[in-house]
Amino acid sequence: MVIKKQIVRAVHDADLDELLANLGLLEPLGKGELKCGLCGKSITKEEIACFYAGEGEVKVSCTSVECFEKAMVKRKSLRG
Amino acid sequence: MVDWSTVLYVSIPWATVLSLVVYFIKNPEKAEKWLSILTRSVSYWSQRAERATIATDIQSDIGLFSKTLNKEAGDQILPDGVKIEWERGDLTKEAFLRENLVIVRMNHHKNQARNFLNASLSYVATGFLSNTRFHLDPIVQRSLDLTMVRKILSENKRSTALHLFHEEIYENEREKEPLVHKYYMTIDALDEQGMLNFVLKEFYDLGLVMYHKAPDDNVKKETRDFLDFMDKIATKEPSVDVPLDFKGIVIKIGIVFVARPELARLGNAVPFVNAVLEAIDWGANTVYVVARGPRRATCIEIAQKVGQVFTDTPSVRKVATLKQKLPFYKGSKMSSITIILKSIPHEPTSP
Repeated sequence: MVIKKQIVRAVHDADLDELLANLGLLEPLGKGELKCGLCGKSITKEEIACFYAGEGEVKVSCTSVECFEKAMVKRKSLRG
Repeated sequence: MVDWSTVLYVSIPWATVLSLVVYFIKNPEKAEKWLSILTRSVSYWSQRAERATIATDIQSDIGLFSKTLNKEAGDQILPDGVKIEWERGDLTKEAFLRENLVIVRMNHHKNQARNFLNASLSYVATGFLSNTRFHLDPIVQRSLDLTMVRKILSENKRSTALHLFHEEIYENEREKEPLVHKYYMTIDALDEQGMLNFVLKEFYDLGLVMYHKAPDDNVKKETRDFLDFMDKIATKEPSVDVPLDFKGIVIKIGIVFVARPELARLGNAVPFVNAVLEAIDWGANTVYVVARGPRRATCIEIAQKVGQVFTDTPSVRKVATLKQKLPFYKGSKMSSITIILKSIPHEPTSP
């Protein structure tokens, strides 16, 4: 039987600053210009729930379940 | 001469180790749980152990939940668990965009409640009834998602995550869309009565039928009507009659209750077999024969007889038996079984 698990890609808090820098998001975050790509609300580092790709850019979602879910369905298909 | 004390001295530890290995192979989520406990003790000194603590703890609990739910429902309602894959901070923007990634943020394991909640939300948002999601009424889908996340948290006794869920997610959802609360409560009532599995099975089948089709507003509406129909059954008083047939475009089911004492007393399966055939005659795809009530031993026996009648018939076939412990109308929990029968489409005969 093929066991099909759903992959969840994750980043640990210890790697968050480095990831933000590499993705070019540290500067807008420092200036208070980082916004949730789905609801448009300005967010702090603590309020980042996930990163996703949209319109050729790396975007972040806030912790609102609506935004988080919308970001989640942008994921590629399941991988077993 | 055989020294039995030496044989026992050697064989007992090996037998124990072998039993544990077999147990963990059969129950990988239990192995992950133990691994999580072991790695936690060294997680302050090792980032690798810290990540393993977070991942294995989530994987084991979600894995166990999905295994139980899929077994109860008899269908692949959820994927077989979850696997956390870590991305490092050195990931480049180009690689991120090329792979079209979605990355969930995980806090230190001290804040595992938040991690567990995020992983559960992610798991449900993409994996739960994945073929059906676009064909569900949005309110129904949201209410089901919220229920499923709550069930993952509550059944794994994640009280802090459950608190976060209610405070930060559910209350916001309820405020934004009161209907989500209404259907969330409906689904809760169905779950309490052991009927959420019927809904999940029907929605799973709907996904199989609709998977390659464009979303249809009439079908979406039907999914909400179906919940309303099930709600009337789940919340009815024992002596009140409500419709037991749902005749939709895609969802077509009949429910046959083996519960009435006056019929159960006779121990006769014929009226219930006839009720199944009537439902098949009008075009039901699935018939649920539900045995519960005060004379439950007789009711269960009758339902099983009905199942036996349709074990190998040309037009109807028994596909599953659900065994549950359910409350009997605000009373204590009682055994109940549901026999699930599917109609078999007739092949056109060649002239």
